[in-house]
Parts: sequence; structure tokens; C-alpha cells
Amino acid sequence: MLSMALAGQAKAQCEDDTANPNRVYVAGSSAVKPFVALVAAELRTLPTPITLVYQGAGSCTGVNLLVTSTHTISGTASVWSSAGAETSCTLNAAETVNIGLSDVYATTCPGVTALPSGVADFEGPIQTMVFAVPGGTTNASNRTSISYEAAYLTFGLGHNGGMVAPWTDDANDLYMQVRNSSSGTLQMIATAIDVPAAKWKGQVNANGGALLTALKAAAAASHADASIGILSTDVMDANRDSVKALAYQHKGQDCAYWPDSTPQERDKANVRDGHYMIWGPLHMLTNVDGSGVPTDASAQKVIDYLSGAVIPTTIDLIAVESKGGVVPKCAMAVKRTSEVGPLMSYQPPKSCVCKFETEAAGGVPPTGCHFCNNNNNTGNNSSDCTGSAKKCNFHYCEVQ
Amino acid sequence: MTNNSFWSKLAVAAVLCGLFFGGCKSSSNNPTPGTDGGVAGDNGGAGKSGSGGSGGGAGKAGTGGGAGTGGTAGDGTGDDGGTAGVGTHDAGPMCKDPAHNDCVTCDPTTTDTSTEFLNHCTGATCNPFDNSKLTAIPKTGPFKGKLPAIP
Repeated sequence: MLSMALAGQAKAQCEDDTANPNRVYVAGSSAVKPFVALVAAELRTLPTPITLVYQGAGSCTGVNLLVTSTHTISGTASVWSSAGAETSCTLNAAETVNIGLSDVYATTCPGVTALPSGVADFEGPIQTMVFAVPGGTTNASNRTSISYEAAYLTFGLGHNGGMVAPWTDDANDLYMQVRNSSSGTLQMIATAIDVPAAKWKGQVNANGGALLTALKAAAAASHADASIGILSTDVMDANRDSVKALAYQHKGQDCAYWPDSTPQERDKANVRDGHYMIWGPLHMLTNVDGSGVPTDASAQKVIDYLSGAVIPTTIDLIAVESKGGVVPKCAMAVKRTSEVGPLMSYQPPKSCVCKFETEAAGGVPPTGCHFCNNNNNTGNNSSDCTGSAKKCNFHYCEVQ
Repeated sequence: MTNNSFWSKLAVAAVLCGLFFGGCKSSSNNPTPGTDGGVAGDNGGAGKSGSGGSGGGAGKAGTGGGAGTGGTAGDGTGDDGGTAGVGTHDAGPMCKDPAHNDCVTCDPTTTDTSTEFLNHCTGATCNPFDNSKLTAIPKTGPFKGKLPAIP
């Protein structure tokens, strides 16, 4: 009886073909988990459902799973139902990872100089990293912005010479919440502020969720103003009731910018036009054949959905991305090819600016965006569109 | 904002930049604006102010540049030059407009002039302020003109 009772309490097995059919094993970035969760739920609704088996382990772990000789994960993972309910499951065996997720370029990770032959990096939506402080209606920090120099001193020197009170007030840097050097969030911000990832001061948190909890706990203990951490906007946007992003003034800038046009918006306007500097594409590493095609067909399908290479028929991917705090490339006006590297202007081959901004505004099209239906997503001019914006993309008139 | 309005915005920024700032400040040393953003090394020079278009040529030994609408300069020093920033100009007049609300300009809260460059202002006391007036890193004071090395 006891064994039966214990068995009843045991975690479900990830490899259950009935509950989790057509599994694709994904591991790496924990920052991107909220977005992965939204897409995973949608993938379960496909005519041939795909189950994402996800293990958040840090971006550089995701890279190493494809780059080094150890390609398997074990322990526990997460799966999602079509309704979005997350379930923790146990991996019965060491399972080969199909896709390694990373917030940063592989070569940003320690010890990685290049991708091996047979592994390719497919870029997904844009991820943004922020300095975060307690927010909400109670126990909120009253800090608004941070400069490159302030961030350098805060996280590089901590209380010992940092001189950036109140963030460095505590002798043990108790209120500075950071991640370990496997974290893409930390690696990207480290690149931006020129503080080597291995030398950050502060309290190390296992993932963004744990960091969020630590910030809230410090705020509840009357240390809101002294508290600061780092998060991705995936996590940030889902928790605006308790944390807020600081505007960031990069080296050489003379203004600080929020990722969004205002702290209340979700339009990522300053990311999309290059004002806000700490962002980069999601990297999806997978094994490919000699032609660069993913060797696992289901993995390819997941990558196509996550990257927007295929317009889903059952998923409003741009709405999902907007809700998930990431930006599809088709809504960007700038691009870059290295970590926090120089920006280049970018005209998406099929723009979704109006669609993204509409979703970010809760369904209200911004001024200048016009709904269309004729020739939607065909690439041909639409009779519903006038002026220079003649294409109907995602039901909004766009120039291209 | 459509793409069209975005590029229009850039064009306006470029014009205003030239009118009011005499061409916006760039902190790169040797940028060579061009028509196509080259991809060279790590150290790109700033692109032509406010062009927002196809980008500056690879800079040589750039030393970092200011970000602005549509792009930013490279970072660091070196001899190889690098990818040019595109449409780069420092903040520009648009973001100085409090009504535009896409930029935080705050009067430093500290009276310690040695740390004014830190600019971590509070919401409660955030008054419009031209951050460009902040001393980058004072030569007098604990840092002697540059950030200390990370131990």
C-alpha cells in the first residue's frame, strides 16, 4: 500500500508517449522560459502535436550541450499542456538534446571559440535584458535609471569602492541579485558594461525566477531602494506588479532609455530602433546536415515556429511574442551580428511593425497603422492599403 | 508606428540634429561614413549622423561612440576598424523633449561632484536635465578620469 501511495505521488515520466507525444528536447536559457511556455502550449494544438520537454539550465549550458561531447540531459524537466499548464516530469534516461537555447552568441560563453561542424545557430526573436529593481504599488524602489558607469562600478566593485549607493550599501552586497556565469542574462549585460562575467559582485541566483523572488523578499524587508538585479524582459514583463526596469544610459549616450517607449508600455520601441542597447536574438542551436538543414524534423518545425520562418496557421505568433516580452525580427528597425555589437539599419523583408505594436497596445492599432484584408500575407499589393504602405502583412498595411 | 513613419522620424531627426547641434556629437575618433555598413573588426566608428540608412564605412581605431536613433558606434580600440554604426547620432533633440518620454534625463541627486556621472536618479526627484552636461569621469576625484579596473 505504501509503495502504491508513493508511486501515486511520483512525478510523471517525461517519456510517456500518451501524455507527451512527439517530444523535442530543449535545454538552456531560463530567461526565455515564459516565451517557450507560450509556444509550447500552442505546439500541442497542432494536428500532430509536438511536446516541448524543456530544462532551464542557463544559456551557456544550452550552448555546451551542443558544442561539447555531452549532449544529454537528465533529472527533471517541464512540459506544457495545450492549455498552458506546466507539469514537472522526470527523465527516465539521459535524453539527447535536440535544441540548445541561448540568449547569447555561442562564442560569448566561456571556452567556446566556434560552433563545431554539424551544428548551426538559428536566430529567434529578440531578447532584451534589463537592470531590475523592486516595483509595484508597495515596497517599490524609487530609482529610475542607471548608467554604464554606475552599472560597471556597482556590479564590478560592489560595496568595496563601487560608490554607487544605495545599491552598494551592504557590506556583503546582499541586495545585489545576479546570476552565475552560465546565464545569458548575465553574459549579455556583462558584455554591455565591460564587467567580466566571472567577476560580478552580488548574490548568485539559479534563474530569473529565483532572482525575482530575492528582489521581492528584500523589498518586503524594507530594502527596496538598495536592491537591484538583472532580468530578461520575458520575466520582467510578466511580473510588472512587483519589479520594474531601470532606464539604461549606455556608454557614450547622454540619455537613459527604457526598453519600451515608457515604463507603462510594452512596445519595445527603444529596442527596436536602437536607443536601448542591451538586447540580442535568441539562439537555437541544433544539429544540421551538410546542407545546413536540421537533422531532426520536429526540431526544425519548432525552430521554424520560434523564429517566425513559418507563419503558423493555428498560432498568432506575433501576439505570443508580444505577450512574452520578446520582439519578432520583423518588427525590428536595426540589427546586429555580435554581442551588444554595432547596430545596422534593418528593413525586414516582411514587416510586422503594425501588428506587433497593435498587440503590444492590447489590440489597439497605433496612429498610422491601418487594418487590411485584401491580399493578406501574399506579398502582393493590397487594395485596402494606400500611400506608400501597400502590402498587407498580418492584416496591417506595411511598406514591405 | 509604421516603417514609413519610422524612417520619416529618422529623417527629421537628422535634419534637426544638423540644425541645432551642428551635426550631432559622435564620440568615435575616426569614423568614415559610407554607404554600406562594412563588417570588419570589433571597433566600428560611428555612422553618419542621423542617416538611418545604409550605414557608415568601417572605422579605423574607433574608440566607442554614442548611440542614437537607428544605430550605435562600435566599442573599444584597435587597428582593424569595424562595422560602422548606422544612422548614429547622440541622443538627438527628440529624446530631449520631456513630452516625448522616451528618454530619462535627470538631475543628479548627489552633491558629490565626483560621482555625478553616475546618473542614477530617483523618480521622485526626476527633473529634466541635460545629461550631456554631466562630467564624464572627473579627472579630479577618486577615479582620476577613468573607471577603475575590476579586481
